[in-house]
Order: sequence, then C-alpha cells, then structure tokens
Amino acid sequence: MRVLLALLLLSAVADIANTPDLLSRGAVSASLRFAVPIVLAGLGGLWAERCGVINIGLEGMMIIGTWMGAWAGFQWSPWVGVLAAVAGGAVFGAFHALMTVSFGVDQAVSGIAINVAALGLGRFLSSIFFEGQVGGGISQSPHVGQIANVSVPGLAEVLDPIATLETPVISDIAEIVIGVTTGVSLLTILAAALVFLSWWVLFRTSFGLRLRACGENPAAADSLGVNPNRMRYAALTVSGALAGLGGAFLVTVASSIYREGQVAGRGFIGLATVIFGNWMPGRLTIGALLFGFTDALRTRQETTMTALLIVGAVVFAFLTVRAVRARNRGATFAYAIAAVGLGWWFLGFGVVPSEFVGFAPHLTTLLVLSLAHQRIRPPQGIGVPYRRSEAN
Amino acid sequence: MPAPAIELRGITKRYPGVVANRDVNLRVESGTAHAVIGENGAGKSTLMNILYGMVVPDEGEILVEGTPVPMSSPADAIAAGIGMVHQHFKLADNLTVLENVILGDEPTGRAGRIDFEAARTRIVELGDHYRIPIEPDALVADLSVGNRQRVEIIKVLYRGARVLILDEPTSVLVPQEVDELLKNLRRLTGEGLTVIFISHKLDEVLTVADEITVMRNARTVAHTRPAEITSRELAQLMVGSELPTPEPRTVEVRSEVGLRLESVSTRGRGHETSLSDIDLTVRSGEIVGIAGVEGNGQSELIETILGLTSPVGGRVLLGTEDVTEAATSIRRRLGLSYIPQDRHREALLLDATLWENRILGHQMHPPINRGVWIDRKAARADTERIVADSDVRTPSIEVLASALSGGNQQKLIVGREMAGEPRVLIAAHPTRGVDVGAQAAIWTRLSAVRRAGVAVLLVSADLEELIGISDRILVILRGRFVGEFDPAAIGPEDLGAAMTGADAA
Repeated sequence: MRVLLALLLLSAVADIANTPDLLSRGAVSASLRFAVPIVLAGLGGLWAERCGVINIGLEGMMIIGTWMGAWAGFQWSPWVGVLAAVAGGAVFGAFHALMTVSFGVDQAVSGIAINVAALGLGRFLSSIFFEGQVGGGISQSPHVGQIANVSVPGLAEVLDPIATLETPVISDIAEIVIGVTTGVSLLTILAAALVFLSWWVLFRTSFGLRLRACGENPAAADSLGVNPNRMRYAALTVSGALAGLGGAFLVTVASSIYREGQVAGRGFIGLATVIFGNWMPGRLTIGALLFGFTDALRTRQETTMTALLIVGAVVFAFLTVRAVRARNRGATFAYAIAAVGLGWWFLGFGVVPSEFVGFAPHLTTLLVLSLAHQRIRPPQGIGVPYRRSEAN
Repeated sequence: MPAPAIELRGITKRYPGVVANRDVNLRVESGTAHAVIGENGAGKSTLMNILYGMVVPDEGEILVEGTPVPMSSPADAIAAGIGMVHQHFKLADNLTVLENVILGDEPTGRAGRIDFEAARTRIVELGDHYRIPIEPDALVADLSVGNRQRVEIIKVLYRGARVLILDEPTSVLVPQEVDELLKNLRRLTGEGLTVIFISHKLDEVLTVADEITVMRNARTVAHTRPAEITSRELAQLMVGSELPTPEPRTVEVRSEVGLRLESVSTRGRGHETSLSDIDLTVRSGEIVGIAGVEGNGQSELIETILGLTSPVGGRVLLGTEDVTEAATSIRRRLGLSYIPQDRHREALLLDATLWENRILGHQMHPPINRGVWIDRKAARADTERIVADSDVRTPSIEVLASALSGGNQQKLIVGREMAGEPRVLIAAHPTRGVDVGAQAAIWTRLSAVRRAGVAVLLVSADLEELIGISDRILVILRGRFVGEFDPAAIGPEDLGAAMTGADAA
C-alpha cells in the first residue's frame, strides 16, 4: 500500500515537474548500480555490529576491495578480481578482529587506522604494480574487464509497448520492471542473494543466533560455551569480505578501472544505513536503494532533482497533518516550515542550487530513514570489548 | 553410600595479591539443596565459578559422581551436567526467551537451520514438568526480574543439568518471588536434582537447605545442617565475631524540612516509568525509606531530585530553596549528597586513585576547589581523613579504586558524600553487595548522619534494612506512592505485599 502511494506520488511528480527521467528504466537500473556497493557495505556493517563490533574500517576494506579487484581483474579476469577483492576485504576484516578482540584496541581507533592504512596502501601498491602498465598509474589501474550483465529474455519486448504508452503509474511500473530485469549485472544478483542469505543465516541458523548473542551479551554467550572472541573473528571476516565485494562491484560493474578516491565514503554511508535500517538487512537495503536512487538522479540529470522538491513538499505536508493530529506543536511547526519552504522554492526558482545537488542523496536518505517511525534497537553489546576475566 | 553429586578437594585459586580460595573442600550429596554461605569476598563466587569452569583452579580436583572431571570451560561443566544461574543474569535482552534458552545448544536441521518448533515444544514441556511456566516468545527485555530468573533456571534444565548452581538467587527478588523460588528449588530436589546455592540471607538458608557449608577468608570453615544450628550461630561463623544490627532510632525529628517534592510528575522515555503526582517531605534528622520493586520509579525519583530529569509538573525544594529548574551542580552546592546504587557506573572512576575519586562531585567546593584550580594537597589530606574515619581498608590513597573490595569502595563513597556537611542525602541501595562488616559500618554512618540533622532519603531493596533504620517507609508502585508505613509496626511480608500491589483492592 505504502509502496503504491509512493509510486503514485513519484509518477504524478514526474508529470508536474516535467522530469520524465524520474522513473525511467535508465534511472532505475542506474539506481541499482549506485545502491549495490552501499548495500554490500551495509551488510558488512550489519554482520560486525550484530556481533558487537563497530566496523568503521568498512571504507578502508572497500578500498582494498577496489584495489585487489583491479589488480587481479586486469591480469586474469573480472571474476578472479572479485574473488581477490573478497579475500582482501576478509583479510582486513580479520585484522580488525585481531586488533579489537585479541589486542583490545579501541574499535573506532582500529577502524580509522584501517581506513588510513588502506588509502596509503592503495597508492603504494599502485606505484609498484600499476605504474608502467598500459593505462595504469599511481592513482589508477589499467582497464579491467566487466562482469557480464543478464536480462530476463523477452520481458522487455513484452513490456516496452506498455511503457511507451505513457499512461501514468502503469507505464511507470512497466519502466521499473524493465529497469530491474534488463542488463542486470551478475554481481547485483549476487548482492540481492546476499541480503536474503544474511537474513537467513543471522536469524534462522544456530550460527546466527550465537553471533547475535555475542553482540547482545557476550558474557551470556560465553557462559553457555559459545566463544565470543571466535564469533567476533568470524563476523568481522565476513564483514570485511562483504565490503571487499562492494569494492569489487565499483571496479568491475560501476566502472572498469580502479581509481583513487573511488569509494568516496560509500563505506561510511553503508555504516549509516545499518543504524537507520535498525540493524535489519531488509531495512538497510531500502535505505541503500533510496540513496542509490537519489544519487542516480543527481548524476544522470541535475534538473531531475527539482522533482524531489515537490516530493519533499508533499511528504512534509503529510507529516504536518500527522503532527497536528498528534498535537505535537514543535513537530507541526518544523514540518510546516519545511513543506512551505520546499514548495516555495520549487515555484519560485524551479532549480536546486548545484551546491546542494551533491549533498541531496545524503540528505534525502537521512530524512526518510529518520522520519520512518520505528523503535531503534541496537545490539546492546555494541562497541564493548569483551574480556573473559571481567565477565563475572 | 552413593558417591556425592559433587566433590571439591583441596581447591586453591590465587590471583595477584590475593588468594580467593585456599584448600577448599566441599561435598554435595545427590538430591539435596546445599547452601554455601559467607561474607562478600569470602570466596564463594570464585568457588562456584571454578565449579562451572569459568575459572580454572591452581590446585585441587573436581569430582562429579565420584569421577574426577577436568573443568576448563563452561562447556565442560555443561557436559558434566552442571548448570549455573548467575547472580547477574546472563541473558541477552533483545533476544526472545526461546533464543536465550537454546543458545549454544540449538536443535538444528539442515545447514544449521534452527528447528524453532522443536525448541518451543521442549521448553514448554520442561516448564510444565517442573511447574516453572515461561513464555517462549516473549522478549527478555520485557520480563520482570522473577521471570528472568525462571528463564535462567529453564536454560539450565534445558541443557539436562543434574546439578544447579544458583549464585545469590534471592538477592534481587521481592518476598513473594522468593517464596516462589524456594518452592521451585524444593521441587527440583524432589525430582532428584541437586541444588547448590549461595546466599547471604540466613533465614532462607535455614528453611530451604539440607546442608550448609560456611566460608570465611577463602576457606571452608564449617559444614552443618539447619537442624543443628541457629541463624545467629551461623552468622557468627561467617563473620568470625559478633554481629551488627541496625541501630534503633534515638533522635528527635526536627521540624525544618530538608527536601520537599510537591506533586512532581515526569514523563518517562521508552521503557521508563513516569512519576505521577509525587508528594514527599523529608525533614532534617529523619530517614525516609522508599520501598518498591525495582523499576517502579525509584530511579526516576532520584534523577528528579538530583536534577538529571526535569519534571513536567510540580516543584522540588531543598530546604526553602526552589530548585526545580536548578542544575545539579547548584543542588550539590546547596548541600545535596548522593550515594548511587551502582558504584561502578555512577560513583567511582575505577581506574583512578582514591584521592582522585574523592574530588568527584566536590570539584567546585572547598576544600578541594581553589578558584579555577583543584587543590591536590587538600584532596589527598581529606582522603586520608576519610580512610581513617570510615575504616577504608587500603594500603594507600594512591591505589586505584578498582583495587578495593566492594565494601571498602562503598565506605569511601559514603565518606566522600558526607564531606562538606550535606543537608540532604540520597542513599540508593547503600549496602547492596557489601559484606556484613561494611554493612554495619554504613548503617552506623547513616544513623550518625541523621543525628547530625541531615535529611536522608533511603531507597533500598533490602526490606530488613528499610525497616531497621527508616523513620517512615513509603511504598512506590508504578510511579506513585501507594502507602506509608511505620517501620515499627510492619514486617517484610506486609511491605512485600504492598510493593507488588497485592493488597490493593
């Protein structure tokens, strides 16, 4: 129901603002491409935090993933690159575990150290392995092959006439379906499978229960013969592997080259989606998709961003009504100002100032996820080092 | 005679600087309830942790039904049929009862998939069999303390334990829940299980235990049966000397008001209880006790008085001063002192020295404060005074607070909060987790403070303590005061009933 409402709103807005790109197949498939690395980083964060360790090093692990993916990818094949990226991420994940679990280093410090180290390591290794290669240099790799795309055969042909009809909503749905079924990278499909798999492992298997217990109350797990330190090693290795895969995606799907600064904070955004996603894989994915969607719009055509002004105005108007009903005076006031402000901006200027465009994806994701009403329930053992002798 | 269910021979465990267990021997017959008693720091908990494999002893052996068993981890203990209910429950709040129970021993199908149905059936069966009903799908965070303890017991039974160790199982319960627990323990031994429990409370020990082992100074000093001993004798065995009792009231309550709350209400966040319409007056030279099951608004009451929470309605007065909107530092300057319930979380910096801890909360007051500077010399000198006056047993004031035992830490805190002549003292569970000796010292201090004309608000879960030293007792239930009692005319049972709302029509 909510999804349909959102669709209706977007569809109407696309017409009003005259931004047909808002729900085009191109925008949809671009959204997916932008969202997948964040989903993978988010899953990495989820695995770590569910086991009680904050993985600020996700960003660095993604960087390692991009470098390893490019290094193995340009020599052999993109798939070998993916494997190397996963392995590289896993090694750094395990390193984070070594630091935080075995040596008792502060989790944030270790994570930041990994980020800094990965940045330097990428440049250093590039100077050794990429410099002198065709197209390679200290800040970029030679050309890397791409992971194959697949489509559901025949579906696009069937739906295309409906999509071009330009009937509101129905055509939009057809566009979206075409967008998610044609030219989809195999890695995207793998990422989708990993979302489900993460949920299944964490919430349906004994391994997952033990892992979560170590994130909630490691002393309790220990008293039942579950070794929290071992679980944290496992969780962080998986976490790093997922981040590494996210890096591989950037190199072998989103582009075909390693470039310095390519990760561009996606690891941190992934980490944020974990929190806003309430430590659940499904919600986290929604957050990442939302970010991907806005990011795709921004990159494809800046003017499309104006459509979001209307969406924002409508959403805030709705929230204002809800706040009035709940008799929350402060919220009513704030929402009303936001709604009027956005509407006025659209009518008055009709463009989003380009200074804000780059920031729009972050802002949108932040707003939507924090306004979604939910009871935030972080794992209780998060960030707390576990030492056996203190357990009693 | 069959081999005992558990036998410990010559157990010794040394930690740097202390011997926690010295040549300890314990023999527990099968199918009995065996109590291990002793003061805090006597080595009971270490001994139980050794038995459960959480601590590995330096010397000695552990025999289960006559055979020596190496215990190097809880998994070994579980395999040997030993289960433990810890004093501080080992439960994950955000997991369900079912998940907590099966953790580490999950019934699994293909690919490690948990068979939730089988687990649920098994747990319900266990609950029915031992008449300890629990709800498998409830979230542990939503359970009462008594129910959490049930989950812990079921957890142990689920693992097929034949021997249950309970570490101070009654310390967190209200009297009604205690009765329920003791009944359950009887039922368990009736079924042939063996129960070992640690307790401070001698009357419970005498009613429920078949045999009693007394520990003192890291050794086992006596082994006896309830029929052969009185609670006074037991207590003397524990302490090794005469017993303290709360001092009776001897002073007049003065007319001046120390602390007054006028129809104070708060709005609780999330799980918190909100206070509604609280009226409270504590006069100088008076101890007012607050009784209640934990989580009924005690913390909110304390936070409101301290200024950590601002009330949505009503007024808070210190003396004649309206401090409803005043910051905590101002309240402290006006003579408000506070002994928090969790000394590790609120009262002490464990990794700081004693004299540094002395500064906390007094950083803006003389003699510690001198303009913008902290007077270290004065801080040290005053710490020496507290250590001498309050009999804090420590090698020096330069040691870290973490090196002190719980009782000595608490004496230091009480001494600190008494410094600078407070007018109002909030004491939250001042004797929780401290040994009998320190308990007596703290009670004596509280009485002395009352004599000096301080208004004392005592929040406690120890009903004996409340009845022993309060001048009046107010019962708090769901954020309201539901009754006022004269401690001279009330027993723990009546108080317990009022606390659970059992007597409310």
